Amino acid sequence: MAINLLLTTTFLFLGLSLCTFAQAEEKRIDWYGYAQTDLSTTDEPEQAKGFRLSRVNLIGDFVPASRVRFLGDIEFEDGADHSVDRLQGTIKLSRAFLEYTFFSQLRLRAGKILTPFGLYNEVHDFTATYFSLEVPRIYKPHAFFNGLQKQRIFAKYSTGVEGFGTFDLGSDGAQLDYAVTISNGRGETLSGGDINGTPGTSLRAVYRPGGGSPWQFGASAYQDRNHEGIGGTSDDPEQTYALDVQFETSKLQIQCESALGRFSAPSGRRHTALLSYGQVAYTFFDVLTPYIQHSVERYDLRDSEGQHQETRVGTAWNFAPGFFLKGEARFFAGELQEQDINYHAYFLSAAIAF
Amino acid sequence: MKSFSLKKWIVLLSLGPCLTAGAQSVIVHESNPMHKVSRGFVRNAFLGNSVDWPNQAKIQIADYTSGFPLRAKFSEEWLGLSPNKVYMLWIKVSLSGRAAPPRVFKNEDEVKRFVLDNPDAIAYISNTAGLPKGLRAIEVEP
Repeated sequence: MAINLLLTTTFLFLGLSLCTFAQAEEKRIDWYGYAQTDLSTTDEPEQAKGFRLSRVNLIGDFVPASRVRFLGDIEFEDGADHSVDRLQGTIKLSRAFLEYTFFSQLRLRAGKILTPFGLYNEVHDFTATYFSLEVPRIYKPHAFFNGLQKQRIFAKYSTGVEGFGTFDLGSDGAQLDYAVTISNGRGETLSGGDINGTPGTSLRAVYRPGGGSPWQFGASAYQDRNHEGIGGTSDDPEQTYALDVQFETSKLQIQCESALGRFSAPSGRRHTALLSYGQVAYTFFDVLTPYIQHSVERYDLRDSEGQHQETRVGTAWNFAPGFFLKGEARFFAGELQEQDINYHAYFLSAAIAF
Repeated sequence: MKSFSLKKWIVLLSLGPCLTAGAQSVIVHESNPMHKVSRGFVRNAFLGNSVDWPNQAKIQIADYTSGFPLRAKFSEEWLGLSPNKVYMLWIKVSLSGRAAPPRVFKNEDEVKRFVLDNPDAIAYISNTAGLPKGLRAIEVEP
């Protein structure tokens, strides 16, 4: 109820602001987006193989006035043939929000957003924005328990309100970014309302030292009552905390992230899962970037079972502005509830940003 | 003729980067209320870390097409990154919904025209000689 009231008020406020400013100032609109197709082979029977049109995204960025902005992101994902009588793949509105800037330290967004979490959740699944072919495993859904649906340890999307901004900490360019969201959390009705009436909240802070420093430090937190809990418990209170560090120059790039997720197991016992990864990439000739990424996961810190490790080794080639080719090998080893899971997978990917 | 001493060569060589770094000029529309900005502000604006002017107007970045020599020079000297790295960072910035990517132009005349037409724009040019009416260089504090 409270979240609905907050959303309605925010939309009303943003709508009125838009009407007022749009009359007086010049409108501006930008279109951009990306597309990606993959080819894969693997010895894991349940993994998809062959060609795959991963996604085509078209983003409309509309600035009707200096303080107001609307962004919509339409996505076609994981489809081969999408005709009226043979639906395959998904077409969806991934993001749609109105944004109002009070000052650079405080902006407000309302609508459907990508939860500000970690280094990559907001960049939205485009292979050129990270080193490996897909986002690191922290951001992917996991099968924590056999027979239950795969889930992420946070909500990828949030329908709600986001307050965010940037504080300039000195003339050397040091900055502190923050983002706070209040949303429906995981579990929405078919028409988009909050199914359990308890909001999800998230917080992210990022510090960038000034003076052209290549370092960046971030922290994220997310909590909600997950309607279909990771362990199958309805309306399970779940929390996730994450830290990230990044070192990025034109040539050398190092990133590390760790996330702790707390949720109830089907037995009712609380689990604390740890998901981490580190990756190193080095760019040659400004366009060729070999990388290695290693992920380690423990699905319950109090139990030695449920440990996974994955190594991704590959090369990204930005052969022309906006065009990307990637080749990647993955080596996965783990076990879940006394079942060994080991596989190798090999990928080729072509992508374009426009 | 007097030969250069080793000491003079060292002084000259160490001064070299200072004399060339930032040789480009940052320009804005003459109606822009900002007359002086820090080098950190310019870096953050051109990397998409800052998206507003202090008066909350959205900064509109004008840049050059890839391969334009001035773009490489500016990226290295002002942003400390290669032009391709800057381009990759902007893909991240735009896809995260933070800001639209910079407008890119083929030459300095097109960039100047864009800034003339957009009071919230910022751009860089090789020198301010013959800067048309309606544009001005903005002072950048080190």
